[in-house]
Amino acid sequence: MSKTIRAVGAVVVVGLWLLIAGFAWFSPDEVYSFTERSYLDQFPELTLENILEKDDSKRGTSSFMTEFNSYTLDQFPLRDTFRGIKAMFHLYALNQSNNNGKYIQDGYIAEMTPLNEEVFQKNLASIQRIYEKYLKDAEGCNVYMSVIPDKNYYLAEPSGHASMSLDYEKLFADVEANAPWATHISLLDVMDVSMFYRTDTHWRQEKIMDVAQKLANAMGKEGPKEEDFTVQKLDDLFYGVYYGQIAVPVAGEDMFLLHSDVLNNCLVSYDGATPVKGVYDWDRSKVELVQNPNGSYTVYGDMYEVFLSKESGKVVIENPNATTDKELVIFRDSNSRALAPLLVQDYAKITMLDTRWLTGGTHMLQNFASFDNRDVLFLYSTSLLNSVELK
Amino acid sequence: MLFSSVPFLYYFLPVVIISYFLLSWGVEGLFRLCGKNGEKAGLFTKNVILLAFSLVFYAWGEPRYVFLMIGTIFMFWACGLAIGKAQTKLWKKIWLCVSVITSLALLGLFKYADFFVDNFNALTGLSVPLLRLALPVGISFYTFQAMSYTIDVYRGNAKVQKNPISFGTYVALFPQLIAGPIVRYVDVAREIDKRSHSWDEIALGIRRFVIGLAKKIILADNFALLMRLFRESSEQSVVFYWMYAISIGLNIYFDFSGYSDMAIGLGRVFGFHFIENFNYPYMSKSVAEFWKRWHISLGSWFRDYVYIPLGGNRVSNVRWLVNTFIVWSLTGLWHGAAWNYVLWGLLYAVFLLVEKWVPALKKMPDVLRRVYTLLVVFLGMVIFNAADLSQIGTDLANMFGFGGLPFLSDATLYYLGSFAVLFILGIVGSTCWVKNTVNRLAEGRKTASVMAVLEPILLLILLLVCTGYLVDGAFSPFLYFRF
Repeated sequence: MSKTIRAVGAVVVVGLWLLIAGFAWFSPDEVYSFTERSYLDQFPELTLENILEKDDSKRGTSSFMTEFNSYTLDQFPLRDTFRGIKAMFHLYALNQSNNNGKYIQDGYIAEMTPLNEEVFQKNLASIQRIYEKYLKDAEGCNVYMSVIPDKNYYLAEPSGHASMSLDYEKLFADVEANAPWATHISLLDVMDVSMFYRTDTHWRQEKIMDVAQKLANAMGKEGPKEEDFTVQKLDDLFYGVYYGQIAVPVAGEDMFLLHSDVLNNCLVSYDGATPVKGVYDWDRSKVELVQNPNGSYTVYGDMYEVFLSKESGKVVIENPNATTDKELVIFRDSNSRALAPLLVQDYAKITMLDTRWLTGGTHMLQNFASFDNRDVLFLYSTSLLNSVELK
Repeated sequence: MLFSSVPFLYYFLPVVIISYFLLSWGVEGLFRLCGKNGEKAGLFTKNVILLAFSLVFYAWGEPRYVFLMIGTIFMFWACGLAIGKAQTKLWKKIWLCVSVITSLALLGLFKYADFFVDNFNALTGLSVPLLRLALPVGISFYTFQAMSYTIDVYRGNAKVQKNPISFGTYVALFPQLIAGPIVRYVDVAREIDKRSHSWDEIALGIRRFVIGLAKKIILADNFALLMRLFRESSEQSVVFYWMYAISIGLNIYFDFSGYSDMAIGLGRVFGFHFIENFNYPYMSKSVAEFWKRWHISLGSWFRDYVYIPLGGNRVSNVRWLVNTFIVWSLTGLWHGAAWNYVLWGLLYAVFLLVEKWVPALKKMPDVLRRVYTLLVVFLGMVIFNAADLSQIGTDLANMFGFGGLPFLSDATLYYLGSFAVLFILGIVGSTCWVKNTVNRLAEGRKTASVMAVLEPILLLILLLVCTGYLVDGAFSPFLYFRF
């Protein structure tokens, strides 16, 4: 090969490399990554102490060096683009079946979910503890249980990941066997993968009417009527949690909310705060980073938080127009946030308890709700039961 | 600091390269303007810059141990001077011994003290406390490198380097500081004191560097991923074990040869021509040939400084046997302070002896010879990678179906499908087929110009993909830098 052409090639490669390096050095630092839903590391403190202090988790490397390494990764220019390049190469050039444990099948991004026996058994034990301590002797308490299959339930087989996934049928059977005291409501006949957001773990509110209907009917209630609701499309596109994790460029999705006269008059309180009108948290319907007067930041990074917010242990929805004084308590994960508004027409009050965020977890529930004469619904997804401890 | 990291690629290296060329040209130009020896001044500036940045590079990973590095440089430089000035062979030998014993003592203290204490405690039942000293990065490489200098000066093979900056540059040169190749002073002595640059050389260096980076990040790290998935899997099988063994072999090869490529490539950018460290070892037809192609700089170091001084093979059979076992025990031990490394080294000693004493092996068809060599090598890799001696037994038993595992499992099939392309790339990439094909196309009349345009495009793509992996991933250290 001619030396001149080789030299020109080298100039091109060096030029691009120095250009990227220049951006790495001089681009302003970002505070938050919306695709990864996390704050980004900032430049570490440059002191002699920090340079000499060892980070034992990194083989004796200094703290400054470890922090600087994280900083350079977090603040790398066009970070999402480079992650996308890696994802595309990993999945399509190397033909890997997943990227960071996530895969795409039929346009849906899903997560491989191998069985985590330890967490699953702990969660079964937590549910049993709730029953033994609070529900068994509660008067007039009707206990129901339902498990929401995650996307991997539908996509594992066609995508070739079945062998790497938990045995869902066994999980459903184990949940039922562990709670013979509950009325079990299977959702398998009213659900399919199209009910989920392509880029998120959660289901679409506008598609789960049948689910709400089945749950309500099983609890002896009428359930929602489609004609009572109007559909609103949000302005911004929704990029779910899997979008950032898999890093493959995929299109955003329209997000829809359901409105009704009942919902418009409901009062919602979070963790005992003053109730507010309406079941949707409109501050969280956009994706933005807001700097507070004191210099800190408030992040609205997940549009799904429009559904009754995220990190609340106790959410109460009061229906002032209810024709009954019956109340429902839902032991829940985040899927209930979109579902509960579709059940509220049949209750005076719905109390949603997420034990992960309650002080004392499943051991101190008497501080948060009473269960006499109430319907109690355990509504958890397979992914939560398999991977997150209920406390 | 690792080559395969964003701080190195996009923060450290640009500053070094810009400083190295701009400052040295500036100084050279200034001196010429003043009517002085610009070339000498420029070279001095280059060496100062390389030494300074090499120490920064080293301090980045080990801030306190940079003083150990500086002390080592000074000690060997001084011993080299003393050997050169000594009037008698006795004093030359004394200064040689001072340098060798001091460096081996340092190596022994930091790398092997706890190994010996552990074994002493196990043998005697005592509880002598361990020192728990952090291992200085690259100590096995730079001590061997520096020892080669004083030994070669003593033997008269190398001239004394009187300039401490030049000598420090040789010892601490960051391209090969923490993971080789083990560069002997005689191989770079001329270029320490005089080197030239051209865009063509820089282009060749960049090409080598980027290819090495891709070998490490795209191939080695993905094989490491499979190794981790294997260990975490609850559905291991005999076939999965063999996939694991092959992954270890390909992971270590691409990790280490990738790093060597980067070191050689960077060296070339700075005007140095280091020796090759790998020559497609998995194409070998015997264990003896394997060790002429694998980690060449280490093998030749042990050959020239341990094996031959012990008498090599020009001694009685018994003595030759002893020499062989000593050299290969030390080779194993050099890789790590644990018995599995010693066992790994001894495995090769045994097969080298077998090959020597069973000439019929050479008469086998080439394909069988290659299969035999790969079998020995990959079994050796399983031993090399084991966490402890008991794991070796478990792993080998499972590989041959004596561990009660099924032949195949669903997880095995899943990972075989998922990593099939990687295996193909790894197997093909470990042969000279790619290089020969590229060279043939580059020299072909019809294809040369196409290749000339394609090469920088391909290198750019590899650089962007590697950057993507770095940004997306976490810390991915080289395997050999812990030596």
